[in-house]
Amino acid sequence: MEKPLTIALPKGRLFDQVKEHFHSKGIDFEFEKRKLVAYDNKGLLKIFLVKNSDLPAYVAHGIAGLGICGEDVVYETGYSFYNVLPFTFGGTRLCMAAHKDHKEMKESHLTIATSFTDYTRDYFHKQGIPVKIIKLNGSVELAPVLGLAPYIVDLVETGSTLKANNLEVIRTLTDIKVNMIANRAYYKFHYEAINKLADILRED
Amino acid sequence: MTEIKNGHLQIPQGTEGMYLEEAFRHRKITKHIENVFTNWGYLPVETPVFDFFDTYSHLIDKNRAEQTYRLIDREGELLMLRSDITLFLAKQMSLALEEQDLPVRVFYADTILRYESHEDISSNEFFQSGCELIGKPGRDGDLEMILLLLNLFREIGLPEVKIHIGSRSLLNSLCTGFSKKQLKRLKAGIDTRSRDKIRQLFIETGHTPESSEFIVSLLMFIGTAAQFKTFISEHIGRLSGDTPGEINYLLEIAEKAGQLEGAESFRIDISEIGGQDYYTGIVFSAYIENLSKAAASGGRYDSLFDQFGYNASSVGFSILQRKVEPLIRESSLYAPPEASQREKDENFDEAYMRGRRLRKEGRSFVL
Repeated sequence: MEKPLTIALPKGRLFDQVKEHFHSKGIDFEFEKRKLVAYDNKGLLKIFLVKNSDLPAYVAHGIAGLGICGEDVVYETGYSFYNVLPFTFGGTRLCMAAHKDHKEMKESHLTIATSFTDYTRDYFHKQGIPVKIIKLNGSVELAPVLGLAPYIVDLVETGSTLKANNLEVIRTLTDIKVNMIANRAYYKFHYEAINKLADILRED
Repeated sequence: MTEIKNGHLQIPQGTEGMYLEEAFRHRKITKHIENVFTNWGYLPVETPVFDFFDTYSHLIDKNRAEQTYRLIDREGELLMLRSDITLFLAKQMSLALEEQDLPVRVFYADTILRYESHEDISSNEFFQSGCELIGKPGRDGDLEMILLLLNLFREIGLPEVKIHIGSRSLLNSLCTGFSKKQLKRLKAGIDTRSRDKIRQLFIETGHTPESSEFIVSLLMFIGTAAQFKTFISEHIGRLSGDTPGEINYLLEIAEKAGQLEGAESFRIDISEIGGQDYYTGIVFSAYIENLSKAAASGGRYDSLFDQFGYNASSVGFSILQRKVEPLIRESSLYAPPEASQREKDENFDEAYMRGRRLRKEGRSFVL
C-alpha cells in the first residue's frame, strides 16, 4: 500500500465545508477528541488540523504536502504554491466597507483597519492611492464604529455583520477562492498520487 | 560576563554557524561530493566573496536583487556579496579562459550569502556545491550534466532522487512574440500551476481555445519519456515553429539518460523552466522525498559568458547542500570516527605512544 499523502485542513468555518465535500466523494475522516491528526477511511490521506492562518507555513515547510485554504490566507503569508484544484465552496469577497453615513471617499489619504494588510497595501499602491493601514487581528467592524479608522477591509460573505454594525460595502477588492494547494517539491515527487486525489475531489 | 547588546546573541538572517559533529558531517559530505566531481574530471574553482554589483545587476531578477546583500567600498562603488556562485563563476572563468582551453570542467563548494525572510529560514540556502561544463554545447554536454547529477545523489546515499527535465528553449518556442509583461504572467501561471490563467493568456495572444488548451496540457506535463511520446503523438498536428525540434531534443535526452541509468530516475517536466532568465536550453531539478524544495537545479545557458566578453556555452547545476544534509545525516559514511580513549590508570607517556600507534593504523585516539 502506498504511503498516504499529507494534507493540512483549516480549523474554523471552512473545515465543515471541506469535510462535507470529502464525504460526498467517499472520503471520510474523524478527529478523535483533542487530536489534530487523523487518517481517512481509504488510507489515501494523513490529515493535520491546523489554524487557518498557519496552514501555508505547514505546507511551505513540507510538513504537510497539501493544504486547503483561501487565496487571502496564502497572499498574506507571502508564500507561493501550486494551485492543484480550485473549489467553488468557501468562496468569499474581500471588501472595503465604511459607515453608512460616511463622507465620499477621498483617495488622497485613506486610513484603513484590516487583518489583510499586505493585500490591502498592494491593492491601493497599484492604483497609486496612499494608504495608512492599521493592523487588527479580528472584529475589524468595530474600527469605524469606535472611530479607529473610517474604512475597513475585510472578508464579506452575507454582509450581515456589516449590516448589524451600520456599515456598507463601498468597493470589492477581489473575489477569494478556495484551492487545494501543494508544496512544489512535494507535488513534483508525488504528482501521480496528487493528480489522482484531485480527480477524486474535483467538483462535478 | 561581558554585557552583550540586546539581540546580538542572534545571528542575522542569511548566514549560519555549524559546530562539532554537524560541522564534521558537513565537511565530510562536501569532501565526498568534491570527490565525485573529481572522478568525473572536474577541477575546483574558488570565486570571490564579493564583486561589483553593476556587473551582475542586469542578469538577476528583482527578487534575487532584493535578496542580495550590497555594500559600498571606500571609493563609493556598489558591491554585492556572493549570492549565487554561477554568476561569479561565469565572470571569473570568462576572464581566465582561452578558446583552446575548452571544454573546461569546474566544480565549487562554497558559502553563499543572501537575505532570507524570517519566515523562510527553512530553505537553508547558505551553501552551494555544484559544477559547470564550459564549452561543450549540445547533447553530450547536457547528458553528462544530468547523469552526473543522478550519480552524485546515488553516491551520497539518495538513490531515489528523481530528475525532472524541462526546456527553456521549448518554452521560448511556445511564446514567441510575447511581451515582457506577458512572459511574466506566463511564468507566474506556470509557477502556480494555474491552468486557467495560462489558458487565458494564450487566448489573449491569438491562440484558439483548443490550441490554448493543448499548450496548457503541454506546459503542465510531467511523466516518463514514454508517456511524453504518447502525449505528443496524440497532438502532433498542433505543433509548429521550433516546438517540434525542441520536443524531439528533450525526448532524446530523457530517453538516452533513461537507457543508461534507468527510466524511473528521469521525468520530462515541461513546467521546469529554470529560476533564472539566463537559461537558454534544457533545465532540470532534482527532487527527493521529504524535502520541501528541489535538492538541486541547473541547466544550459549559452549566452551568460557573452555578458562578460567570452563566447562559450555552458551547462551546470548547483545543489542546496545544507538542505540535503539532514537526509543523510545518519549515514555511517559521514559519522565522526569512534575514538579510543586514554585509560584512567594509563600514564601520559604510555597513552601518547599507544595513540601514535593507533593513528598510524588510521584510527582516532584521544589523549
